[in-house]
Amino acid sequence: MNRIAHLDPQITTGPAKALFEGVQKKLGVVPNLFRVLGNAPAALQGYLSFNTALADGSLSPKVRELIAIAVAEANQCAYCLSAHTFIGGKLGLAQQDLADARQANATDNRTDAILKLARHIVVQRGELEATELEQARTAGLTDGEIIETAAHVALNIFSNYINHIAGTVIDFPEITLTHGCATSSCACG
Amino acid sequence: MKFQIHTKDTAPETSRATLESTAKKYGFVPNLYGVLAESPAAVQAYAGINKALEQSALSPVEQQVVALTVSTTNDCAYCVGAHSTVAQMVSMPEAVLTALREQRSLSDRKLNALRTLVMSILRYRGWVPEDDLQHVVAAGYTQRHVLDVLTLVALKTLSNYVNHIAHTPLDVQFAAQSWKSRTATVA
Repeated sequence: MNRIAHLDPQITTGPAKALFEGVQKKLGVVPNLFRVLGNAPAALQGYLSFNTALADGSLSPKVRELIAIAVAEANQCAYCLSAHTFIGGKLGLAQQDLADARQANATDNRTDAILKLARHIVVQRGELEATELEQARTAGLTDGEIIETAAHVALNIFSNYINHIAGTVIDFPEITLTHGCATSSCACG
Repeated sequence: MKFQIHTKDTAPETSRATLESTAKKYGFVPNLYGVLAESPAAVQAYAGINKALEQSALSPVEQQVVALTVSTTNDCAYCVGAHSTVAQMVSMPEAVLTALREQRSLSDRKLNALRTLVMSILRYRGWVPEDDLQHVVAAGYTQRHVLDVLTLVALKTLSNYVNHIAHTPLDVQFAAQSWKSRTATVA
């Protein structure tokens, strides 16, 4: 059940209209997440600028999708998991790599360290153990990359939480949740 | 090994413009921005969401209620110090600020509904029970407000978590509002 309206870009007016046109141009469609965000210009603009800023960062598009999958799994967001698995596949990531990312695993050491860092940040709400930070640095992550990973976690928490509250209807090939929650206070039932 | 707190002279080239505009806006570069600047993408993301929130349907006081509730719940002393200072700048009633800092409910029914929604979002990681959502709607808030709250939650998640990771020290400009939690409130 959706609890926040999914706007139809065809008949939307006001500030969301131009933003929808930008999304349509970039992605070829306006996914339901954006149709939900369109109810609040600050939220839609905030999400788009968050995304744009991180797209200019030092992490590759593939790694960004893998982080999104790891965070979506930890927060049990089926919408985000479906969307990012689809986009990751389009970027050429193997199905096995997409599946592994759900448990914060990757064959490449550096990517593996980034995913584990992201998962720790989500599960522990940013309160990392000194050893966890040390592991990230030992794997070769710079302080800038560690901070950027935290920013990706925040971006994905943004969309995870919106989808949970809104009950956003999945408009990607659906990935079902199979694992228990990674987080102690998850209320997904 | 500490995270560096950048000035506009030490920051990576592509972070400098953001630090300069921040200095212009606040009169100085808060340490949070100095830490974020190590990643130009992160500091630009933070500034970008802040800019987007100028279109928020929430009043400046309501926005600070949300920011302070997120930051106290996440036990981020830096963010509570900074947002308490901002809350005073936007004339948040002193009683409201004190209650938020002491993590007590607010006598203002509408603001308290906002605070309750934020705590529910954090506690349940977005899986807000129907009753909590109905409660905030009954207090006069709309879908747009709820999305604006989530935008602020995302913004503060970024700053709370980065400050946890980097152990960002409070700026002297915020020192009068330094804060220490009695207990961390989120499992």
